[in-house]
Amino acid sequence: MDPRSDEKLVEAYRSGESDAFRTLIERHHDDLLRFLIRLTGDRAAADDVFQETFLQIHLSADSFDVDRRFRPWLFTIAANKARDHLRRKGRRQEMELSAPVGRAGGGDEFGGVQFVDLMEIDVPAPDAAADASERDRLVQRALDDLPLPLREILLLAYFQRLSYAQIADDLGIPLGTVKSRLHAAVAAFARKWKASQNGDDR
Amino acid sequence: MDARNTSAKGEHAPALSAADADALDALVEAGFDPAAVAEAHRPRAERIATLLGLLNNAPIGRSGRLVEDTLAHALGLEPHLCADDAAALDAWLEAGGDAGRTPEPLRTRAERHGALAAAVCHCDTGKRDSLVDRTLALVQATIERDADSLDFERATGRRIRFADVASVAAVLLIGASVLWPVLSSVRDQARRIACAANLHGAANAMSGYASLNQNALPMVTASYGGGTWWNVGKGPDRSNSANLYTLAREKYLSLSSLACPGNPNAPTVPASPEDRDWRTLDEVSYSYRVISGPQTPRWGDSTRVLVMADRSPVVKRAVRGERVNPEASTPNHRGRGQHLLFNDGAVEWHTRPVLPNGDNIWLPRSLERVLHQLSGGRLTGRELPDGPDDAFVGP
Repeated sequence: MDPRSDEKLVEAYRSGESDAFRTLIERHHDDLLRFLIRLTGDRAAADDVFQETFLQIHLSADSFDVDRRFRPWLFTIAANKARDHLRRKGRRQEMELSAPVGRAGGGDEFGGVQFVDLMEIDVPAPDAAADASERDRLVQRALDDLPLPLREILLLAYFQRLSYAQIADDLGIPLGTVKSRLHAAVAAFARKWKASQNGDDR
Repeated sequence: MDARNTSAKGEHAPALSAADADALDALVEAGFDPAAVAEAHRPRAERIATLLGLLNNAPIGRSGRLVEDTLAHALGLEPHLCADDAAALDAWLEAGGDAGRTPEPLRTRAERHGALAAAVCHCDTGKRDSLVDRTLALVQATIERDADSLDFERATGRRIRFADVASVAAVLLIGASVLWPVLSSVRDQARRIACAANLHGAANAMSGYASLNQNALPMVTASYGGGTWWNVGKGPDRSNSANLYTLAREKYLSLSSLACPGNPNAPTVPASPEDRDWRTLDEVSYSYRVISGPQTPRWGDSTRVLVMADRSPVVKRAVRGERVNPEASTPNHRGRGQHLLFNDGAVEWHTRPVLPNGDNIWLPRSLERVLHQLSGGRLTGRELPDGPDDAFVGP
């Protein structure tokens, strides 16, 4: 395994070491592909966006500032490409990431406001291998129901585990907005998940 | 949501001043974090937050953030995590996703956040197939295509003998009269394909630029604005084409990608590495959305807007003080239509320079109205779009 950091690998690739690019792709393959499958809800689309993302990395490698971190850059490009892809497919973005929270989850079948309490929810057990594919399907269904901006910030936070300050910095939106938007995203996701558990999501 | 409305009923009801109401709105908007409130509202927002904090400390419930919860509830902010889950989420994230490092009272809930995240992050990617190889092949094909186009340019003029020239010339002379209309159409078609490829390349470049610049459209300088946007080559802070040239200057694409084959004057390499704009109006192949400060839409915005188009047939005539025809199509494709690039990356061919909402892309709405009323009006190169939905490109 190449011990060099992602940023060093970009530098090496810029100076002509083409194997460095393969290392970068292999290193981020699993995580980025999972992120894109969750974001687009479609394996084939995730494959396409994955390739477009790394093509963009190749095209923009010269302008990458190696003092910044590579992974957030990669995921931000991937999220942009996925957004473009979904929009081309006609799944319209319902609001901007930086827009006020408002009624993000929508006044839906639950009728009115609910405070989500995770202690009242059956959280999915990651090691229950027997029903892993069923769990995957239900998680995806709950995610697909979220408005795209909420899905995006939820996935960026879950996959990157960055602090609010780092997310705010990477997305270029105020820290308070990141926080309130992520709270809303987790609440909306938890509620959709609970609904899918009860079989009353459709 | 407007806190001023809360005191609309009853003359004697206590009412927030307009400034306090705005500050409260801003505070709610910022997730009750006064530090994230715009500077203009921050002092008042801090006072409001302090007041809310005092109320929170009152022993009135299990939640330490009862006031925020209740206020958010009243304002219709939903869905909403309960205060303990919200605090646990913050702690879990600040601990880098390690619930074991969160404070004891929040740990159980933080573990639940971790379990939710794990379920989301551990989806099945199927068999680890050749995606890595396919991605590398795509990149390699792009590199080879770029290299091929360079080789082709170098190869012309080399190893060509008189006999080759004579035989080709003979065939061409004999067939020209028959084939000319067909060839002409094929050539137009080839130019259109190459031009569309340019715009797809520009879309990729803009996406790359947006990723590094908070989704902004390319802009030569943050302080851009206020000048005559058609002064190509006469000052980088003045010309709108310099904004587009930023993509080539910062190497998001090569200048040849901004040279439409239908524009014989378009340079394919910069005359000087220091250049910040094309040198003359004739060199510009594509017109770019006129940038107008904070109203400028962003790449990937939910509202679909025009970003770029084949060069305007209107600007050059307007610069010369000639009468313009806003219904004319770009000169790049012999007046048959133009390619348009939108901020979602889509490239479309339109036979008229008018968007489905009736907006003419060569003119600002103000002038469209005047033209409509008077069949006259004159472009001065200083107009700005009426708003984000006023698509208007130049030079």
